[in-house]
Amino acid sequence: MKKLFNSMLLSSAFAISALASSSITVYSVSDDIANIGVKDKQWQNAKEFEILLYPQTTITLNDKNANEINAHNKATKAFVKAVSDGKNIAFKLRWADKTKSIQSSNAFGNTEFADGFAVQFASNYSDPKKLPYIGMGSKDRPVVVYLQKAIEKHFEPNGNGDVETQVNRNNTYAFNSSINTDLENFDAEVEKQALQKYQKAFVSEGFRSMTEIKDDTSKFNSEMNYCSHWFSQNEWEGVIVRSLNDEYATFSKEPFPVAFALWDGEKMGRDGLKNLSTWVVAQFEGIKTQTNFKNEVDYDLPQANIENGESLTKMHCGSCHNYAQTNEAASSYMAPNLSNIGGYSTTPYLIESILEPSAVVVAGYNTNAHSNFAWYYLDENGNRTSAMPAFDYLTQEELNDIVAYLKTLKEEVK
Amino acid sequence: MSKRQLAMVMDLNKCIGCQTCTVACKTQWTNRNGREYMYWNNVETYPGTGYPKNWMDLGGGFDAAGDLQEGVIPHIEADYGVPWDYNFEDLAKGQQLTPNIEPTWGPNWDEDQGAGDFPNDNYFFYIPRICNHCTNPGCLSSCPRDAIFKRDQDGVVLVDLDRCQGYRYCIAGCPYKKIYFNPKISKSEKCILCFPRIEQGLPPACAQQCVGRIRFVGFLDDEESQVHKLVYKYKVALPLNAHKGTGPNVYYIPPTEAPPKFDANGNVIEGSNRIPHEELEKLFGTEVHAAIKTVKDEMQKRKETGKSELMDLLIAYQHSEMFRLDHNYYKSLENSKLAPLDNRYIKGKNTQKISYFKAGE
Repeated sequence: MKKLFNSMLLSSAFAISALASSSITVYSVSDDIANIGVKDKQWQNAKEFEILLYPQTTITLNDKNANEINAHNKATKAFVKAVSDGKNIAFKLRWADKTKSIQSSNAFGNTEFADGFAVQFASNYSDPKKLPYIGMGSKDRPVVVYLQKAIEKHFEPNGNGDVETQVNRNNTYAFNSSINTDLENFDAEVEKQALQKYQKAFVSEGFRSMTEIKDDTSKFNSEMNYCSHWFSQNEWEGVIVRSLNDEYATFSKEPFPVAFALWDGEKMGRDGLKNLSTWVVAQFEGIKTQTNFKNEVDYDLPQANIENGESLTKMHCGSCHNYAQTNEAASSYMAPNLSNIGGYSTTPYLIESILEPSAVVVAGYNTNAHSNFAWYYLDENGNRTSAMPAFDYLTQEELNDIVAYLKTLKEEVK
Repeated sequence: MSKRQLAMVMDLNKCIGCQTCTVACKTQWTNRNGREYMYWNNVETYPGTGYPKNWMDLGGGFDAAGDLQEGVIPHIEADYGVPWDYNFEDLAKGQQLTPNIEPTWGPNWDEDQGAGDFPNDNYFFYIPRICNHCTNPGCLSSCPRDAIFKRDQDGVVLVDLDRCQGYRYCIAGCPYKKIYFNPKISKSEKCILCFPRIEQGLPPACAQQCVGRIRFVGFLDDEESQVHKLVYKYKVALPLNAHKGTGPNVYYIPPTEAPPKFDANGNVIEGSNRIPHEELEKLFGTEVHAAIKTVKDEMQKRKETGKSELMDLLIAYQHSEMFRLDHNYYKSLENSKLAPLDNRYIKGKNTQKISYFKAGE
């Protein structure tokens, strides 16, 4: 009887995980979608896929209030649609958020944070076993990220070389409204230069290296819209559309990996204070591909012994890594926290990280922040050697057990 | 750590709290475009809440092991104070002078209150504060974008506004709360030590305008500089809250001179000093006792012999004896770009068109 109960539990667990997709179908549409918005009719025939996003707990930053608010975050769901018109590819996300958090540009806004979302693509995905690190890529494995945040129109003086227009509007010598209209002209100029929306594209090879693409070499568009429902949860809808080909990433007919991130402004979300998905495979509608790409990007290890994996993890990993509310590591700054590693990592990534820790090195903290706990060593050519030794002496079985256990390390879905 | 380090020494014995430095800085840099609430330079009363309110209790900096500590982002209304204005134009029409908002808090809300019982042993003194341009800055260490860098040529700590994404971890990380968020551009901004002036051989606006002539500016490694002599030779200038582990480069000569206390009958208690040395120890560490002794001894020596290099330095007869800046030094560096601490971005590895903070070029 007990066995039956267990297997029932197991199958219900499967039923839950089966709802969340590890792949998305990109539907073909005939209309031009270069400027597609959240309400456009091109979305009508695209099926919606449920994606789980887990709280980023790899590193904890230094904002005390934010850390307290976010200490017990759960995984969240986003519902994703994808369409392509042959020239552009668009993703639409829908996610529940009971408060609309806008970061205003007025003087009172210094502790306001914005809701937002991002879509991440791997620049090179020819080898599904060597995808970029999920947290904004890794060295020599760049990603391109499109971000929109609910930040009000703001004026960014730098980058345009327009510092000289930053004059004091109270300066009655410069702005004597009874004599001239300089103040009105100045206001018009600021209005013209102000960024209307916080929409940005970045290239990145791991956190701290994220660099904004400001030269229009990656054409994209995005939109965010908050929907208040009296009958159900309030939610955001967001769209990001980019061209299928540019110098940062190219998509043809082959399936490709994509990842999503969400920020909750009410919880002071920004930067790493976010929920993010694992690499999800997007496949074009109706196109049969030769490769088994989807199953190579991520797969389960059904033969593995998770209990054995747990004790092996404790033995081999626990002295440096914290995970699953265990804090046995020498220091919380010693190594990436693995508490949600199962939520946002793929099986090949975990295997690679254990066997070849220097293949993908998580950039971690600013090197000055916790200087006693370097996660990597730099040589004169900028190559990073991970502080973690290679665990290549593990047997295949032990390795699978550990990875299978690590894949269970993730928060519940809210 | 930078190759060279600029430093400022402020003589607290001479600060009269006139806020001329504050105004010099504000009109130069912060009276516009989202910076209205910021005071890159402020003068606060000690004991007092300071600016922003209770900044010493808001975390940041490093512990003894060198680990960055959690901190808090102060709130503009509760901690900094929302700037307000008056309807001066309406006075001519016979209206009352009223503020445009109801002020609830502001910098210097508790100015000159101090501590102790008036008139017997009440006391206060002023502390002018700017960014400390730390050797190991808390703001730089807490930035997850590597947007803050320390200039190699003079140790000035700057925000690369192209890299800054307005995350505000720097504000939590600074134990002096001397970096601010500009909501209008959604980026952090801070005191730049008037580097465009420094590079021309001019002292920062706050130091130039100081009517008490309390501020000395120069390179710490320049043995002829006033700052070198005050910090290393006489050891009378001490960093504020050095235990926060950031290696601040603004130094203070502690207030050694204060009126004596009165007894219950209102008579002067000879030899007493209103400013408790324990309070100074809290701010400047145990070295403060030796510093006070040196200043007192040199004063005595000057009285007796008429000679004291330290007293001559502190009197600061003229501007040329307060600032040792080197225009030619900067001129010789003109061809070298500003170097961020981590030079991975110099080559524009990820995009060819990264634009860097241009002002120093």
